[in-house]
Formats: sequence, C-alpha cells, structure tokens
Amino acid sequence: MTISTLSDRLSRYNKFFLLSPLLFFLIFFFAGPLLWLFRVSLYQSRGSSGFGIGGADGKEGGGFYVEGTWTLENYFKFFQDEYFRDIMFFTVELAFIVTVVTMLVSYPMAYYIYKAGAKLKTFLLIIVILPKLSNMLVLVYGLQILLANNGWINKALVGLNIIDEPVKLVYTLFSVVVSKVLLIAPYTILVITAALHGLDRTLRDAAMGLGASGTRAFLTITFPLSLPGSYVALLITIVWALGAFVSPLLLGNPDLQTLATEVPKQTFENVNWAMGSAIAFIILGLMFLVVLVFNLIIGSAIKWRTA
Amino acid sequence: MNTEEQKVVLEVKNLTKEFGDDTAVKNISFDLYDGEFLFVIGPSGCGKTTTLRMIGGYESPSSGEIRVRGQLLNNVPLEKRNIGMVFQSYALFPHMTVQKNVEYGLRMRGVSKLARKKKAAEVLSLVELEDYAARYPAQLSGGQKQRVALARVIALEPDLLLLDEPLANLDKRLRDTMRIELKKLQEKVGITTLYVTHDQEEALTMADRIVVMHDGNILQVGSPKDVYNDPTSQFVAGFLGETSSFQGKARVASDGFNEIVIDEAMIVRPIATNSFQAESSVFVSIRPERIKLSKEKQTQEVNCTTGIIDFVSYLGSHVFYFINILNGTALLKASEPIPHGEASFKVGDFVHAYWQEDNVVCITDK
Ligand SMILES: Nc1ncnc2c1ncn2[C@@H]1O[C@H](COP(=O)(O)OP(=O)(O)OP(=O)(O)O)[C@@H](O)[C@H]1O
Ligand SMILES: [Mg+2]
Repeated sequence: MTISTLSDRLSRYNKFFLLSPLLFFLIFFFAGPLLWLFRVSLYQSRGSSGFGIGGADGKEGGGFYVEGTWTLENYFKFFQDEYFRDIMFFTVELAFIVTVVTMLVSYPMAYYIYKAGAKLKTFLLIIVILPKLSNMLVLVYGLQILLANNGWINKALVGLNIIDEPVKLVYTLFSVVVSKVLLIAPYTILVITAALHGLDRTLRDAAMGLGASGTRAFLTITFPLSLPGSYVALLITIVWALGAFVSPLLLGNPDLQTLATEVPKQTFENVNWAMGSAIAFIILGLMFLVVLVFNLIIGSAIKWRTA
Repeated sequence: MNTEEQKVVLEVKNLTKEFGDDTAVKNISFDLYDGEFLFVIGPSGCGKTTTLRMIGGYESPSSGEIRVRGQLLNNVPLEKRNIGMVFQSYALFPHMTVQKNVEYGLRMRGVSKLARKKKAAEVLSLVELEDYAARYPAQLSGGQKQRVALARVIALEPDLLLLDEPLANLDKRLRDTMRIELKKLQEKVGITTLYVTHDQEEALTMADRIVVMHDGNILQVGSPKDVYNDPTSQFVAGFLGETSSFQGKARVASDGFNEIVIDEAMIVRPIATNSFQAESSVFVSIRPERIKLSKEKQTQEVNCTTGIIDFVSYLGSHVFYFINILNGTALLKASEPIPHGEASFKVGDFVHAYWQEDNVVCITDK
C-alpha cells in the first residue's frame, strides 16, 4: 500500500479518528457497564427475604445473584410490592414538585438576565454558574447548616420575633426540594436564557409598534416563542429531578427516599444486585416514558416551528 | 407636489441621535406631506434606519422634534403612536397564521372579532393574499411575507407608513415586480409613506421626493428629477445614477463665458447662468446617457474630448462604454441605446465624445 492510498483511507475515516477517544470512553465505561447492569437485573435474586447476605455459601455458588438464571421476577416484584410502589410514587411526586418550583424560579430569572444590560448580565450569569463550580456535597452540607434548628435562618426568624421556636426545616420535604432546585436550576436558567436570546428582538418591537403594551407583547409574542426552548429546559429538569439522589439522602428522612437512593440500598445493604439493577432500569424507563409523553403532547403543540 | 398648501403629516426638526461618542443622525430636518411617497436614501451606515426608528418610536432622539399632524411625538410611547412600520426582516410572528398576524394590531386595540375578520379579509385581498390566511409565515415566500407585513400595518390605517428596505431581501426579479406593486398599492391606499433604501434605482423609480443622507446629514431634498439632474454635491451626483466626474479650474474665456479647464486639455463650458470665481476649483459631472460619440471630429471647440474605448459593457438594451481620455489619466462613461442590438464601437476604437452645455453639472463646494 502506497502512502497516498493510506492517507486517503485515513482522511475518509478521519471523522471517526477524531471521535475515537470519546467513543472508546463511552463504549467501555458507559454502554458496556449499562448492558452488564441490564443483564444483572435479569438474574434471580438470591435472598427473597431481602436479607440475602450474599456471602459465599459454597454449594449454591454464593455471590450477589443466582448465576445462570434469566427472569423478569425482579421487575414483577417491584411493581407488586407496596414498598417499592410507594417509593416510585414519591419519586414522581418529588420530581413533579421540584420541576414546578425549578421552572417557576428559572423562567423569571432567565427573563431578567435576558433583559439586563451587558454588565449586569455577565454578573448575573456568573452568579448562576457559581454554585455549579463548587462541589455538590459542599453545597448540600452548606444547606444543612443553613437550615438546621440552630442554623442562620431559624436564628434570624427567632431573633426577629417572627417565630417563637425554631421551625424544623432540615430533613423535611422542604429541604429536599430546596436543595434539588438549587442543584438543577442553574442549568434550567442557562437553557432558558439561551432560548430567549435566540428570539428575534424585532418581533417584540413589531408587536409594540402594532399597539401592544409591554406586558401584552410578552404574553402574546415573547413567552409563546420562548416555549420550544423552555421545553428543552423542562425535560432536563424532569429527568434530573427523577434521578434525585443526594438531596433525599442527605437532607431527607426515611420517608423521603427515592428510587435512586433505593438502588444502593438494595445493592449494598441487601446485597441484592439483581433488584438494585432492576430499579436502576426502572428509573431509566421512567425517564424515557416522560420524555416520550412530553414529546407527543408538546411536540404537536408547536407544529408552526416545522411547518 | 409639495406646495405650501399641502398638509404636512410628518415634521422632523433638528433631529439628532447620539450613540455614545458616535452621532448617527446629525441635526436633520424635513417634512412629509399628505399622501406623499418620500424616500430616504444613502449609503450603508448613514443613519437611515436610526431616523426611521426614531420616528416610529423604537429609539428616542437625543434632541430635536418629531411631529405627526402637529402633535409632538417625542414623549408618546411606541404603542400609542399610530405609525406603521415594516421591518427589513418583516418581523412576522412565526407562531401565528397570516390571519392572526394581520389581526394582531386590531386585537391589541380591542377591535371586536367580527370587525377584525372583516378588516383582515379586506387588507389581505388588497395585497392579493386572500388564499393564504391560514398559512404560517414559514410557509410563505419572501415576497408573500413582505405583503403580509404590509397588510398587517395597513389594517390599522396608520397616519404614516415606515418601510425599512422592504425589498432588500428579495431577488432581483421579484424586487422589480414588488417595486411596481408597492408603488401601485401606495397610490391605491393613498397612505403617506416614508421609505428607506440604499438602492438608488428604487428611489428614482418610486419616489415623489428623495432625501439623500450621507454620514448622518441630509445633503439634498428634491424630486427624483431634481436630485438626478441638479445634484448640489459631489456625493449626490455620484450616488444617484452613473456619472463621470472631473475636477477642474474655472476661468473666463476670451468670449466672456465661464468655462472649466480639466487637466489643461479638456474645456467644459456649462450654461451661462453658472458663475464662478476665477481660478476656483470646480467639480464637473456629466451623465453617460448625455454624451454622444462619433468617429468624426466635431465642429465644437469646447465640451468635447477624444479617447480610446477601454471596455464595452453590453446590457441588452444599452451598451456602456468606458473611454480612456486625457491620455489615459481619466475615464469617461458613455451609454448608447442600441435598438438594433449592435454596439457602434468596439474596444480600441478612437472616438470623439461631445455633449451639450445644459448637460454639464457644476458643483463648487467640495
Ligand atoms: N444601537 C446602536 N448602538 C450604537 N450605534 C448604533 C446603534 N444603531 C446604529 N448605530 C450606528 O449608527 C450609524 C447609523 O446606523 P443605521 O442603522 O441608521 O444605518 P443605515 O443607514 O440604516 O445603514 P444600512 O443601510 O446598512 O441599514 C451606524 O454607524 C451604526 O453603527
Ligand atoms: Mg438600515
């Protein structure tokens, strides 16, 4: 093979060469383990009591699942067992609350950033991104301290005579929601801000030139046109909220646990790898379902975009 | 046109707009009369759009006055002015049908649904888009979008229509058609219109009057005929239409007439009403279609020159000659109508060029 044909071949595949490090990474550290996890979810669980300490018990081979089996029993068990069902319902409920709060907080903030002058805009964007530059655990522990019974908020409220005794803020639904919103909102805000900046500003001018007040121009033009972009932000928020893990774990209580916190519980505490894997895939399925349903509903509502 | 008795619709007085250290519009004044089609023309960045945006209320003036039918508009907010603006990008609302777009202004003014429908149907038929009411802007061609944008503002029966390069986004053929359509529509509706463009052809063919802007200033205001035939500045002469221009020195000839000598070789004699200071520098401009060419020497001693054809540009109905004159130090442009399709001269031909006194435009300043 001559040099020139070799370089021809290289250039034909050069796209793939550029992609290859990422591709390698994705295949070996993401797709591979995911497939294996799926396989694990189809094994029979070892201990049906939920305490199947999977130590090597010799005869049956030991381990974290029954080798060589193929079954959907983990999935069936999940949907039959009230314990798991409750956790799933709470996960969805929490995701719903977090999504609503995040969107309600993010949209006005994004709109404010969009409207701000150049200097204020840069400042606000830095403020939004800043929490994301610090460690997530630092953020959550910080919140724990802030919301504690003898934390700043309670001290301030008592000090100002607004309340007589500290209110329980931490380890409640409130603290879980607040921390989860804090973790997601920066992304939501950035995506909506980008969507707003993508709008044609002359449309608002045109609306006002046709007699619309600022408010009506917003309601009839800016807001509806920002929806397709905000919809992307909404999906990111929901998917992320469904996977809530750190917030319920560190700021919740035993009644406020989610599917994501259940995965390590099953896997490591109960040493039931099969069940843990099954739950992981149920979370994934839930996310797909939500994206699918939203696409069907909202995708058809914004048909003018593709028309 | 524009006699004193005519009603003034728009009055712009000493209007100035500063952006930081940059002055985009410098103390300009002009009037717009009832039913008039006034063009503001000038090169890119000369402040046309800024002027239009101030009149429309999208930008606030740094100083000066804007009055519509006598009412001072400076502090009237955008949405309270009854001025229709068509944006260069059309600014149609992409999430609304053509019908909804056209009804939008009426809806904002609280017009009933029935009346809105009636009016929308009326203006849509005016722009011949009745059958497109249910479409979204993305489903329209450039020319159709442009007509919807027009219909949308005409529906409000504004005091004044502002158009910012409405044809700039269309291809040449469509632009030529729309130019006629737009002119007809303007006459039909009788709406007072201010039209911004940098296309001199558009201005010359459509305008009742033209305002020529350059670098934030108004250089000249007049009918297309005035502006084309009697430009008062070098810039206007060069900006509207083709021209050959020369810098020369004024002198008084032996027979007592004023004349201008260019390069000590070519003598240009304008009509006698022009008077100059002796030895002053004068700028001379001659339109190509006013120049005649011949192979034979002419009898006249002035207003003629000789040269060699350097380039022939064939335009179908016309040919354009670029002639090297004054030993190749200057270029003279001449055009010739060719009803029989054949050009009279070819590259390399030696020609005598000559013209009439009244075809010479002299500009003393600048
Ligand atoms: N918002 C703004 N901030 C700062 N400078 C501006 C702004 N708008 C316009 N300018 C400046 O003012 C000058 C005039 O701009 P304008 O848009 O009025 O030009 P124009 O005549 O419409 O040009 P074109 O034919 O290219 O549309 C330009 O130098 C431009 O850079
Ligand atoms: Mg412009």
